[in-house]
Amino acid sequence: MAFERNRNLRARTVGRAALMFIVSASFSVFAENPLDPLKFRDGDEIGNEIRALQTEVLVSSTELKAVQQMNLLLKKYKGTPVEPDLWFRLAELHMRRSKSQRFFEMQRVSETLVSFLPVQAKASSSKAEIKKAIQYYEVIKKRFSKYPRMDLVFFNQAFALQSLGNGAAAEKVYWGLIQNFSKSALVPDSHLAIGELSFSRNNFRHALEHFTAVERYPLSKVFPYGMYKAGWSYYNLQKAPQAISKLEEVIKYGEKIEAEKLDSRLDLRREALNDLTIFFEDVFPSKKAFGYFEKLSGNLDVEPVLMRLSGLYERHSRWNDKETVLTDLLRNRPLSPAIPEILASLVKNSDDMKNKELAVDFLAQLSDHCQSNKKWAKMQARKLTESSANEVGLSKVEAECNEIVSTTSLKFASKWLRTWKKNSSFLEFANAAQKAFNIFLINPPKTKEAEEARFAYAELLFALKDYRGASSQYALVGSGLAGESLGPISHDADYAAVVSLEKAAGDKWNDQDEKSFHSLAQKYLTSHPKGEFVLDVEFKLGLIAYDNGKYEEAGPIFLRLGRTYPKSEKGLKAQDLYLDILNLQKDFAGLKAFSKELLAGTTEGSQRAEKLSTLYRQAYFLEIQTFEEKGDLEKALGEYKQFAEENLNTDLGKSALWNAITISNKLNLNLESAELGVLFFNRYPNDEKAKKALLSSIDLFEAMAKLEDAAINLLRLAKVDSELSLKWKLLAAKFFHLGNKPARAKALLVALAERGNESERRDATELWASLEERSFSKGPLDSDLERHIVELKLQPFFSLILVSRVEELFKTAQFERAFIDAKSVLNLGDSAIEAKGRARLVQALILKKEFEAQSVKSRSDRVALVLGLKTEKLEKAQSAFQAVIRFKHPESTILAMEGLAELYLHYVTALRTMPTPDGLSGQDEKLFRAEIDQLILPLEEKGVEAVEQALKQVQELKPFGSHALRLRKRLDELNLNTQPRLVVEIVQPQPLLPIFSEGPGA
Amino acid sequence: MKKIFAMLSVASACIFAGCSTSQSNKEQKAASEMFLSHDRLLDTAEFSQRYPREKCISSLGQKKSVSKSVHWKAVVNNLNACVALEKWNLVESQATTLLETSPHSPWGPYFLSLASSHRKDFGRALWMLQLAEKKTRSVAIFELQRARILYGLERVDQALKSAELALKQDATLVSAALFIGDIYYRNEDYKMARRYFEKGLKQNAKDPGITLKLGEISYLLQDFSAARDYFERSRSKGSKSVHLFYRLGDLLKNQFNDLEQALRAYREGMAIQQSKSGLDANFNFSEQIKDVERLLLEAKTREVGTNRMPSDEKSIEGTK
Repeated sequence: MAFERNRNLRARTVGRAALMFIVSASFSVFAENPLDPLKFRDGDEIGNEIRALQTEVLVSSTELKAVQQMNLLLKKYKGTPVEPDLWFRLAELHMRRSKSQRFFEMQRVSETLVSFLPVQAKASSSKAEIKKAIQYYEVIKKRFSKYPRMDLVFFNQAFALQSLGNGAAAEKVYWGLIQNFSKSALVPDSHLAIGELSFSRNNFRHALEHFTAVERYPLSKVFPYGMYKAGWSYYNLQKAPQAISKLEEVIKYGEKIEAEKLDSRLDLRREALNDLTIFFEDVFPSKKAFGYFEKLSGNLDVEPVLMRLSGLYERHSRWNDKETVLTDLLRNRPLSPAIPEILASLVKNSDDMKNKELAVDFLAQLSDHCQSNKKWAKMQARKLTESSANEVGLSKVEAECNEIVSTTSLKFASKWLRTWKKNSSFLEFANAAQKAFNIFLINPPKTKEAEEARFAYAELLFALKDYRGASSQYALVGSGLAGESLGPISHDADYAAVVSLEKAAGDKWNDQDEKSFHSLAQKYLTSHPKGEFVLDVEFKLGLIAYDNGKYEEAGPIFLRLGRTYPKSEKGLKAQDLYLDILNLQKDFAGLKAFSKELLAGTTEGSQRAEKLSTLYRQAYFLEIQTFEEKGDLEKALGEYKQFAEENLNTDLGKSALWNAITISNKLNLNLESAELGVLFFNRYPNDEKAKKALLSSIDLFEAMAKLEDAAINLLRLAKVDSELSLKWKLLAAKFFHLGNKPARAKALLVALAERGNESERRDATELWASLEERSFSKGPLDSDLERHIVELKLQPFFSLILVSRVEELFKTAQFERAFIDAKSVLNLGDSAIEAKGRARLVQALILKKEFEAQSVKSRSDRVALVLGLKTEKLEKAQSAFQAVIRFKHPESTILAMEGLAELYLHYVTALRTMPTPDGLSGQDEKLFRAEIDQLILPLEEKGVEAVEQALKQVQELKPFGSHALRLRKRLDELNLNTQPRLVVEIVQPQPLLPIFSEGPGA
Repeated sequence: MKKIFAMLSVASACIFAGCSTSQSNKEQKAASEMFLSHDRLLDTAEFSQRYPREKCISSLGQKKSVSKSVHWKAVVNNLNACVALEKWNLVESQATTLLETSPHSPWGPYFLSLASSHRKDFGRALWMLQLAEKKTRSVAIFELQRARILYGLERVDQALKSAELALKQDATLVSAALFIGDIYYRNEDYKMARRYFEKGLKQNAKDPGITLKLGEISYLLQDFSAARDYFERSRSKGSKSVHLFYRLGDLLKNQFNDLEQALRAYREGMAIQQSKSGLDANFNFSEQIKDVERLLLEAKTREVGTNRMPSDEKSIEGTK
C-alpha cells in the first residue's frame, strides 16, 4: 500500500513540477536545480510524503498566483474578445486547483503531515474550486454565447458537475451539448458520459441508447468503448447473446485496428475477451470454452481469458466446469507459460471438489513440469532467452515455477493438515497433506517458512506414526537456511528427530539406526548444549549403547548424567544403569565405589538410600567373591571377615561370615575356621546353617585336639539340638576328660547320671565307667560312680564292683561274708563271666582254707574219720576250683588250676607231716607210714601235674603277666630243679621318631 | 563311645570345601602320603645316639610365616629332639601348634600321644593316636605307639596284637619284635618267642641280648647246638650276661662234654659276676668250676693211664 501510494505521489509530483515550471518561469525558489530537494528518495517514505506535500504547496502557490494573474487579466481585458477565453482559462485553473485542494484534503488525515501544511492548505476545499470552475463556465455560457469553444465549455461544465456527484445536472449539460452542438467532436464523448451515468444508476436501457449512439461515430476514440459498454448494457438487461455479440464486435474492431495499425484507437479486445467470459458462462457449456475463446483470442493469449473463466466458474462453485476448462487448456496448450498457474488452479479446484487425490495428482504434475529437464521448462527458458534454453533461463523458469509449486503445495498441505488436526479420523487429509508436503519439499525455497513447513510435515509424519520418515524430516529442518536461526523450532526439530528415530527403532536397534541416532543425538547436544532435553537425549544415547551391550560407551554417559542430574528421574535412572553396567562388567570395585558415592548424596533412611546400601553391600560382597574366584583366598578371607563385622545384621553379612569359614577351611586355617564357625553360631543362632557351622567348628577343634573348646561348643550344640542333646553332652564330657578337665567331665556326667532320665543315666554312667576303666583293676573307684553303677546294675561294671567287694572281704579274712556275697555274684547273668569266675575263685580259696585248716591229728582209731573229713574238704575245694575253670576266665582259670595243685600238694604235706596217731608204735607205725606214703605218691604227682597243667594253660589262654614265672618257680621247687632260668623283663618299646631330611632344622 | 565319636566325624567331615570331590580326596591322600614320607624311624635311644647334639628349640613352630611345606618338617624334627630329651611340655605346645598350622599332618597328634602316654594319661594318648590315624592311615609307627599305650594300660594281649601288626607293616621294627618275643618268652611260649627274636636278630645281628634270649630258648627247647651257637654269638658280641656264661658252661659241660670250654665259660662268667655288685645265688660258678676241674682231672687221669701226653698236661695247667 505504501509503495502504491508512493508511486502515485511520485507521478503526481513530477507532473505538478513540470506544470509549475511551464506556467511560471518566474517562480524560482531554488537558485540551482530547484527540483533536486523535491526528488523522492528510496526508503524514506515519510520524507517522500513531506517532499510531495512541499511540491504540492509550491504548485498550489503557483496556481494561486496564476488565478490572481488571471483575475488581473480579466479586469484588464474586460469586454475585449479575449475575455471569454480568459474566463475559460480561469475555470480551467480552478479545475486544476481542485486537484491540489483535493490533495491537501487527503493529507489532512495524516497527523504527521498536517504540521507541514501551510495555513491556506489547511483550509483548502477541492469542491469549492470545482464549483468556481462551474460558475465560470456558466458565466461563459451566459455572457458569451458565441464563444467558439462553447461545446468544450459545456463538456467541461458537465464533467465538473459530474465530479461533484451531480449526475443529473451533468447529464443535462451533456445532453445540451448533444442537442446544441451536433457537429462537435465531443458528442460521442457526451453520449458515452450520459451512458455511463445511466449505467451507474442501473438505467441500462437508457444507457444502451446512448452507448449505441456512440456507434454512430466510428472515428471517435470512444467508439469501441461505446460498443463495449453497450455489450455490458445488454448483459445487464438480461440479453446475453446480444451482449456476447456486442463484445465479439469489440474484438473484431480490435483486430481491425491492429491489422490497420490504428494505434490511436482503443483496442479493447482483452477487456472484451475477459468480460466475454462472464457472458459465456451464462450461455455456453464449459466444454466449448477452449474452442470458443481460442478462436476469439486470435493472436492474443487465450490462457488469461480461460483462467478468468475458470475463476468465474470457481466463484459460482462450478467446479466441474472449471476443471473442464482448465484441463482442456492443459491438454491443448501443454507448453503454455501459464501451465503452472493452470495446474495450481486445478489443484485448488480439485480440493474444492473434495477430491484431494486429484489435487495431489495435479500438484505432482505441477512439480513435475517445473523440473528443468522437462520439455515445458526448456520451452519457457527458450522463450525467455529468445534462442536456446540456457542455464540461466532454465533456472529462472524453474525458480518461478517452483515458487508456484511451493506456494500451492504448502498452502494445501497446511490446509489439509489443519483439517486433519481438527478431525483425525479424516485420514485422507493427512495422506494428502503428506504428499503435498512431500512435493513441497522436493525443491523447497530457502526460507524460514519452508523450514517451518518441513517441521509441520515432520509433525504430520510423526502423528501418522511414520517415525522413521518423521525423524528424517525433523533432522532436515533448518538445513535449507544457511546460518539463519530458526528459533525454538530448531531445538524442537532436533529433539523430535531423536525421539522419532527412537520410536521407529522400537526395541530393536540395528547398526544403522544406532549410527543415525548417535548422529542425531550429537547434533542435538552440540546445537543445543543447554537444551531442555539434553538429559533425555544423552540418556537415550547411553541407553541404546547399553541395550546393544556397548557398556564402554554407555558407562561414561550414565556416569556423567548420574552425577550431573542426581535429583532428576533420568539422572537416577542413569545412576542405576551405570551401576548395572558395572555389575555386568563385574567391576565390583567400581560398583562398590559408585554406590558409596551415591549413598553419600542420599537422605539417610530413604528408600533409595536403603537400596543403595543394599547394592553397596552386594558390590562389596561380589568384589570379595572375585578375589576368591581369582584364588586370592587370603585377601578374600580378610575382606569377608571385615564385611561380616561391618554388616552384622544383614543377610550378606551372614553369608560373608559363612564364606570366611569356608575359605579359612580351604586355607587349612582350622583354628580360625573353627572360631569363625562358633562366631557364626553365636551371631546367627536361628540360621539353618548355624548348627552346621557349630558342628564343623567342633569337628575342627577335635581335629586340632582342642578338646576343651570342642567340649564347650558341644554343650552349645546340645542346647539347640534337642534330638541329639544327650549324644553331644556325653561327647563333651569325654572331651573334657581327654582334655585334662576331669572335674568338668565329672560335673557333666554327674548331672546326667543324677538328674537325667533312665536312658541318660545309663549312658552317662556307662561313659563315666569306661573313662574310669583302670580304676576297676587299680582302684579305688569313684564312690559316686560306683553308686550309680550299682543303682543301675550296669553290666559288666556292676558285677565287677560286686566281685571286687567279695575279693576285699576275702582279703580282710571275712570269709563267711565273702562266701555268701560271692554267691550273689554267681547268680548274675551270663554277661558277668569274669565276675562269676572271680567270685567262684574266692569261694574256692575259702574252701581251700577250710581244707587246709582241717587237722589230720588224731588218735589211731579216728584216723580214717579224720582223713575222711580232710578228704571231704579237699573234694569241696577241688570241686570249687574246677567250677572256676568252667567259667573260662583266663586269670581265674590259671589261679584255679594253681589252687588245685596246691590242694594236692598241701594234702601231701599234711599227710607227710601227720603226727603218728596215738596208740601206734613200732611195726604199726611203720605200716601206717607205708600206707600214708602210698597215699602221698599219687597225690604228689597229681599236684605236680596240676602245676604243669596250669603252666600249659598259661600258654594257651595267654593271660599275660607273671603267672608263668610263678608257676615255673613252683614247678622247679617241686622238681628240685636248681638250674637258673633266664629271666626276661618285658621291655616296652621306646617311642619311635620320624626323621625327615628336609626342613630348616634337619 | 567309639560309636559316638565316629558319628560326629562322619556328620561334619564334609560340611565345608575340601572333601566334596574325588579330586580333592586324591589331593588329600597325596598330602597325607607326603606327611608319611619320612626317611627313617628311630627310637629315642637310637635318635640320641645318632644325633647327640640335637637341641629342642622352644621357639620353633611358632613362626607361621615360614613356608608350610618345609616348616612342618622342621617342627617334627625339633619335636623328635624334644622327645629324646624328654622335654614333654615343649612337646605338648609345639605339637599343638603343629596341629593348627598343619592340620592334615598326623604328627601333631602323634607327638601329643607320646606326651600323654609319658604322663600315663593313656586314654588321651589313645585318642590322640586315633586322631593321627584319621589324618593319614594306620602305619607301623602308630601301631607300635598303640602297643605301648595298651601295654601301659596292662592290656598285654591287645598290646601284643598291635605290636604284631606294627611289625607286619614294618619288618624292620626291632623293638616291636623284641617286645613280642619278650611277652611270649615270659609266657613260656618259646617257639613264638624264638620266631620274633629271630626277626629282631635279622634287623640287629649285633645285639648280644637277642642271641642270649635265642640261646636260652634253644636250650630250653633242647636244641643244644643252636643254643651253643647263639650263646657263642652273644658272647662274641660282648655280652656280659652272667646267665649266658653259666648256661654256656652247663651246655658245654653236659651236652657237648667240652669241659675245657665249659670251664672257660664258667670262669669268664664268674669274673663278670665278681665285677658286679652282689652275688646271685643261682649262679654258683665256683661249684661248677670245681666240678669241671674235677671232671677234667678225672679225664686227665684216665688219659694218662692210657696214653700219657706231657704237652696236654701243660695245656691243662695253662688253663688254670
